[in-house]
Amino acid sequence: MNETAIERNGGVQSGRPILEVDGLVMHYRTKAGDVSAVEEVTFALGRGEALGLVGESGCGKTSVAMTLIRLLPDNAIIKEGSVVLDGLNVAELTDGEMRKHRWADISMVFQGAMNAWNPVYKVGDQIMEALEQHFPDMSEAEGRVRIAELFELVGLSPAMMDRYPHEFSGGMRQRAVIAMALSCNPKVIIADEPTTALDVIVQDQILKELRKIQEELGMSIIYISHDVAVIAEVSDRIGVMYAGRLVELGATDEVFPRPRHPYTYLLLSSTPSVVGPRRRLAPLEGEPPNLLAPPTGCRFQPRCPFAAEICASQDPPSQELAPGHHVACWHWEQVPELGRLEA
Amino acid sequence: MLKYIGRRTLQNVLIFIVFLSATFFLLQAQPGDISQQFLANPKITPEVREQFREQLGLGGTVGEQYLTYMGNFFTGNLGISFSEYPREVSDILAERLPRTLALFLFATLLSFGLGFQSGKFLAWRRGSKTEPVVTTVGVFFQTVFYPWFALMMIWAFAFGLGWFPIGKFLTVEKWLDAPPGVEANGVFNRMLITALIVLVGVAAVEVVGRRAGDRRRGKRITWAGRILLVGGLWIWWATVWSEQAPYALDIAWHLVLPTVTLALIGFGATMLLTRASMLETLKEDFILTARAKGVPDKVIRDKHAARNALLPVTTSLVLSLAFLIGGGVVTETVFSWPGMGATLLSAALQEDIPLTIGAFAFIAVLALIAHLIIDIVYMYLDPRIRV
Repeated sequence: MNETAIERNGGVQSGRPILEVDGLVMHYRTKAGDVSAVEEVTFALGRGEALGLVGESGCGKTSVAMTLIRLLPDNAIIKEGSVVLDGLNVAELTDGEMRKHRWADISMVFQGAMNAWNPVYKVGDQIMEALEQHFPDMSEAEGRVRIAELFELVGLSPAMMDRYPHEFSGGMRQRAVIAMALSCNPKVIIADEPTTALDVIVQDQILKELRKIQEELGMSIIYISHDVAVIAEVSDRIGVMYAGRLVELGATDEVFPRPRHPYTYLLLSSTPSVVGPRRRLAPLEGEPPNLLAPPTGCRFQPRCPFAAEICASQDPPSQELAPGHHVACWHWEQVPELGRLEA
Repeated sequence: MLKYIGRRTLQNVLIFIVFLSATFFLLQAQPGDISQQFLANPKITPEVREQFREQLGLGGTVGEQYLTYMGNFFTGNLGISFSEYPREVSDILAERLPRTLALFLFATLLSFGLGFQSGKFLAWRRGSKTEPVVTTVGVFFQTVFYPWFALMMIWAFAFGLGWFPIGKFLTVEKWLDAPPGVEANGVFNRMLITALIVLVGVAAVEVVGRRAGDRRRGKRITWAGRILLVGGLWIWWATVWSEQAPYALDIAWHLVLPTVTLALIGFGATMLLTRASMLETLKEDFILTARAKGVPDKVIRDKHAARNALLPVTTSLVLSLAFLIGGGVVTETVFSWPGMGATLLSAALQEDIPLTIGAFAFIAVLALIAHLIIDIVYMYLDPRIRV
């Protein structure tokens, strides 16, 4: 596993990856049956690398993230696979053990930063809470110095730490959320829809700053978004998820110009691009499958224009087309270049 | 902050004047007056009755009476009670107001504390086996017919088990040979002052602890303050007021059952509301954030979830004040607790207008002050509405 995981990194960074997810299967147990939310997901995150996970709502992006940080609801069960964070398999830890590693080793920038803050406490105090938890020896004064540094790093005035969340604008709150995610020097940060609730201008500023901070600090970060444009801007590599599976994984500058999975292709065709040639937008027909009873074979097969018999009977294995570019499709050769499909 | 309190106080004075006027005219709208109880007495001629009315200030038009009353009221003259003639209304109220205040205060604190804590645990351990049982008990207390419930409490704990006295304010036999300096109202006021000092002191110590800068030092200051406060008062009662202490215990013993009964009535509603509010709060994103930060469950429950769930429950406390006052009248009547509620009821029945209005006025003042206090507390609890 180790060697292949390094290879799959596409040589972005040398050394052992900071995070290795191997064959992860996570189901939600409901009264109607098991919902297969994450199915056989394998990827690795190199040190200092930014990986983007993209896909429609309900495709399992957030479920993957929540599994990594082990913030799953009670009815979620990790059925198979491992999540190795810097040599430690977090999938096997108990809740109490995991609590010590959350934030200190793996932290999160939440979607919808509006509600990520407790309205009755000062923003600085909420960051202090994380510091107190993971650095019990740190004095309050040292903590305040640390928070002031973090605020400056994300472009906030340190005086704002004594303000309440409602006194922040949306963009400022999101910056403060980033500061909080950085507070304990985590090894990995998961940014789940970090800019979804913001207007495009603020969104762009924050993404650029996140990218800058990530490069400065050499952080490893996983971006999660339904917005292809956001992912394209900030990620070194991109993983495309569909119905709980990682269907395509590869370097951003390889996948975007030349997607190899039909779903990636259709997803990109349905997204307008400001740069590049003008082309017709092709809507993605149909709906994502019901994960209580996923389709047999390839999960994308009912919506796929290239579907053949084999697709409905056998699950396509993940193939490595080029170093670090993986696709799970039987007919990846048939996927045309962007803009050529006549529906 | 001070400006806000000033503005609210002024508002409350205006509300109070409107309330007092409305009460006055409503009482005047009742048919008849106190002189009617002499109607069937052949020895009292209509002329004497008229003279009697004149003396009580019931002569003249309603408008004249109103102006006289308001003038007297705001110069501190509440008049003389008809039914407890010739005691002054202010004297009667000064004796009974503290008793009602104590009942309300303890019952509110008890029902709020108990209801909030149990609601919190109920929401936190959602789906446990005790949940339907506790919820049913809560619904029972919320909907039970109150006078019946009060009687059942007396029947069970006073009559049946004999743990508490059946009613009244004190055990007369015990007080017969009380030393000269010991007198019921004095002892009771001392008890009430002690309770108020504890309340205000605990709140003050909490604020000082919060402002100490360092959290751990703040915690030590808070605890030291609490111990000093309670210990100091304990020593004070054991030495300076040692003569009063056993009599204070007697009153406290009489206070238990009405307080608990009144508290239980409010408890169900508070618990159910806290549960609902807490369940909503637990769905909030900041709870997830706190979990992601690695904060222990207990801290998430108390510091994040319960603290926010407290807000709507505090609002409901304001709304339940009116209900509590109504409940107070019933409690005092059923338990023969000689407070404002019982006074109000008997005065109204005997058409003792000065005492009725006086009692209404002071209940209104209590309610308005309680309202103001809760508003200030709410401002402290929710930074979003701070001025």
